[in-house]
Amino acid sequence: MRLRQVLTNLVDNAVRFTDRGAVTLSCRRDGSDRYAFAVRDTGVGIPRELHEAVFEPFRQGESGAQPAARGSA
Amino acid sequence: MGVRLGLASTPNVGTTFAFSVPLRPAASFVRERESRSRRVLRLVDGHAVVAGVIVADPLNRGVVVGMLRAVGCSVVAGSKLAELVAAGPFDVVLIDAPATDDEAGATVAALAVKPAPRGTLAVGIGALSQRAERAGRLAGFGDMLALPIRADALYACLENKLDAHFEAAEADATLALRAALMPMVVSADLPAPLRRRVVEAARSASITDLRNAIEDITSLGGPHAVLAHRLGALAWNYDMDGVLGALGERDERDA
Repeated sequence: MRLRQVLTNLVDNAVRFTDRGAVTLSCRRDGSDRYAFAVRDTGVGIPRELHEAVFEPFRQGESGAQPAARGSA
Repeated sequence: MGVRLGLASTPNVGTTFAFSVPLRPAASFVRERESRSRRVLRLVDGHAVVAGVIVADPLNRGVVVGMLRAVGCSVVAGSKLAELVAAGPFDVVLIDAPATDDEAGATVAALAVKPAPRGTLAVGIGALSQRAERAGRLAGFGDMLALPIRADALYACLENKLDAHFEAAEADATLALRAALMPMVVSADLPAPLRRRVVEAARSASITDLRNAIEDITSLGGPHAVLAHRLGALAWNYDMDGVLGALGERDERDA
């Protein structure tokens, strides 16, 4: 699995859609052989109706002068 | 693949992407753990190894010679290559890592003069720089071992490069045996700074630091001298797991 690529994409997305505040990447051990990662930002957020679709490849919310939402790719 | 995904987002407040994945240690790390979980005892009958050691530093030379003899290798040690080659042939020669390409080439050429039936394996020893390792490998050294020498790395080299076979015991079994035989050692009350020095030296396999710490324990006298004697015996056999076990400080990596 391309863990580095996934994390890079998530952090890159978070930075692009966060005008102020912070982007935080965290990692913790989750059980004996699992690791949990989280990328947290204080950006524009994602509309609830797009939550289901956000993990689909190349999916992104409508773009404009002010980005309203973003996808995972 | 067992990936768990999560998303929490509030418009104009922020977003959290979260996921968890099963991750296992890399194969090289697993192999290291496996090698550390067994303790080499001696060469299997019929697997004789004749080794030459040319290491300038007498302490390092003594360490390497001791590690080899501890498992039944026949060892000739010296400080000059020409004299040692004359005493051959050797299955393996452990030698100070060459500093230059020319030095590496000259060493390999000298060893080729009187090779063992299956050839002579040249193994460089030193604080390996990329340049030294490259020079040795290109000249024909079969392996390079970094200082401080670890017994498990040396024996693994002999197994992998010479096809030497060793009798081995599981680390857990040997630790249990030691614990049964040395209750006095385990119960000794060692000052914390000295204990820390011994543990750090054992975990980094630094035989020099370990022996210095043991000397300081000896100077405390009384029951500590007994402990120092036991630790010294373990150190002499390069039994770092034994040292940690004697102090009740088993390395978590072995657990």
